[in-house]
Amino acid sequence: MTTSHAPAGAGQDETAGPARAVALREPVPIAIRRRPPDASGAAERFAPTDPPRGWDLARYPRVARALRSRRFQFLLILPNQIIFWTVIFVGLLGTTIPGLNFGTAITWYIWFCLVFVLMVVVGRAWCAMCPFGGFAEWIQRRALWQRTQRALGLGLKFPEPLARYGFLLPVATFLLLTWIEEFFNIAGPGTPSATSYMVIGIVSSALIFFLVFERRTFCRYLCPLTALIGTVGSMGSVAGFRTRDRSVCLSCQTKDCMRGGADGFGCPWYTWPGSADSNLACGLCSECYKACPSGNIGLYLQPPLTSVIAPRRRRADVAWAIVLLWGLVLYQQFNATSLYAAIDTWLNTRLGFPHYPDPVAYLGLILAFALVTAGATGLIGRLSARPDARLEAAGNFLDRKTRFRAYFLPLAYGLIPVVGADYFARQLPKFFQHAPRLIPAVEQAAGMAAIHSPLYRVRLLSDPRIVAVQVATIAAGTLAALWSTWRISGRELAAVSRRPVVLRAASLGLVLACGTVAAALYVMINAAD
Amino acid sequence: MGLERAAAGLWMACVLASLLSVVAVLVAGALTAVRAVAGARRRARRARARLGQMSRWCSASELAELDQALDRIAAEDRAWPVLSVKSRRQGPYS
Repeated sequence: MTTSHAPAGAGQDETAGPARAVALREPVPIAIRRRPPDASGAAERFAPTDPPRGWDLARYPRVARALRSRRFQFLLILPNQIIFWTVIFVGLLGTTIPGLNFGTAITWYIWFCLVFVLMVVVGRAWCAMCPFGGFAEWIQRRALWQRTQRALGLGLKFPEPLARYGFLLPVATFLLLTWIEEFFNIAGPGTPSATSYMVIGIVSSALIFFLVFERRTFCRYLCPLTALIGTVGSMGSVAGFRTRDRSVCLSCQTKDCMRGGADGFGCPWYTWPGSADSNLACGLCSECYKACPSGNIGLYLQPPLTSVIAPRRRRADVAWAIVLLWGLVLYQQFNATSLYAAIDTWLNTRLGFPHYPDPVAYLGLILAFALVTAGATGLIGRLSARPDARLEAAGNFLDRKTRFRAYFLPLAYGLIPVVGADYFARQLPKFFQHAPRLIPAVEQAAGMAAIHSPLYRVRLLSDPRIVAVQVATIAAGTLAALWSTWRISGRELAAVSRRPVVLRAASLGLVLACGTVAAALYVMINAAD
Repeated sequence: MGLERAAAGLWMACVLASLLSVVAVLVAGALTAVRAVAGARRRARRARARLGQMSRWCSASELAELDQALDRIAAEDRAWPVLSVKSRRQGPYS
């Protein structure tokens, strides 16, 4: 019975002598290993998303040597580790003046801005050097950089029913963290110790999840920043670690990039380079590069917006994450208006909640902004879908196809640049008003009295100029979103729409409306931080 | 007190060095990226130049097809047994 499963021609060597027992014991894995790789359609599917072949940074011997070194990621993480432990200790033990405390100054005036620049340009560069995941990973692996075989902790797999919701879980943790941050006025910045407790909270949660689940489950499914970095980072020009020749990956029998090899761990982010079509989930950790026995992995660059425009397989969790993140950033603008203050006070009085931000107003407005945006894409679909187009297919949350999804998913991806620009613009007032305070804060932490430092009161830009930069940032994001949406709607939606020109005009109108609302809110709130 | 201040100063110097190293890594990465893209463009330009006038009336996709065909021909050439060349060079009595 078992031998009947063996593929034709597979039993040449296994049937002879003692190897026969092995062949009979595991016919299915042997059959899988021996079947010719199924590459049908691979070239067509991946051609639009594959980065240009020549844009491989690992072609340079120095870069290749650095990536091959096991100390590579350790050395990226170490400086940030030093900075963040300093943030924790100085926040707890240093001066209580927020603008003079190194912990609050670097976190809220510099770090957030820098992370957004990194996201837009590189993608997940921050993830490669993140001190939270890095610290927990050192403990999980029981090593700072060495390739170890036994991990510390339970090593459980993340439950599949939860993993299916992908980026929606980190959006939920991001909403929770933002609400906590607003409630305790951590990023104001308020009391420096609050910033320390927040960082301790993130490091502790990361550590707990690293010890319960395998690999970087926390970073992929739960980190509050992962959805934001993943989606906004897809604008970036680093495609991540990708396969050089997909047929080598398809015929690879060991898959060391996923399972781990002698020189590298299996991908901590659960991303197989053989099927990667965007930089969405590549943590740039270089483990696949180290582990691949065929030297078939490169570190590729790509033209900006490629991972927004090119992927054909759109993900529902990513699309919902984009509109929810859009809802959150609009909320963060709207909450600086006097209208919101009135709504929040009224709700707090009615519900007996102590102070801003009222959770009902917070969640209600974010959901309302997200649903209005999603509804607009649905309306575009309703008005433009061809009646004869078959857009429905049953499935779970990830696979299900409906007319709404056929339009919502691609159009939500097209909004990524305007969402990213809005988050970046929201950080600018703190940077331009207070960034020079970092120097007196360093002096203060080094034991010098820096309260009278002239840099403490220096601003890089006046409020009207900050607003101008914010509006310019939104304009740039809107232009990028218009370009992305034009390409996406032409490629993916025109074929299923009755009047492609009207569809494209409506899609671009939606992007323009989003950009206009964001810019108008920045003018209204006048550089409020 | 003086020792405490010196230790704090030293530690903050380490922190500043860390900040500078992060910036240095990012700048080095950006420079390498620019170099890689410029190099790839230069190679592509040279490849086009090698094809001579053809680039004037061939589209990029046609050029890519031609490149692939040339690669295939080169691979087939390499696959030929070298015996005939060797035997000619070494002569019939070697």
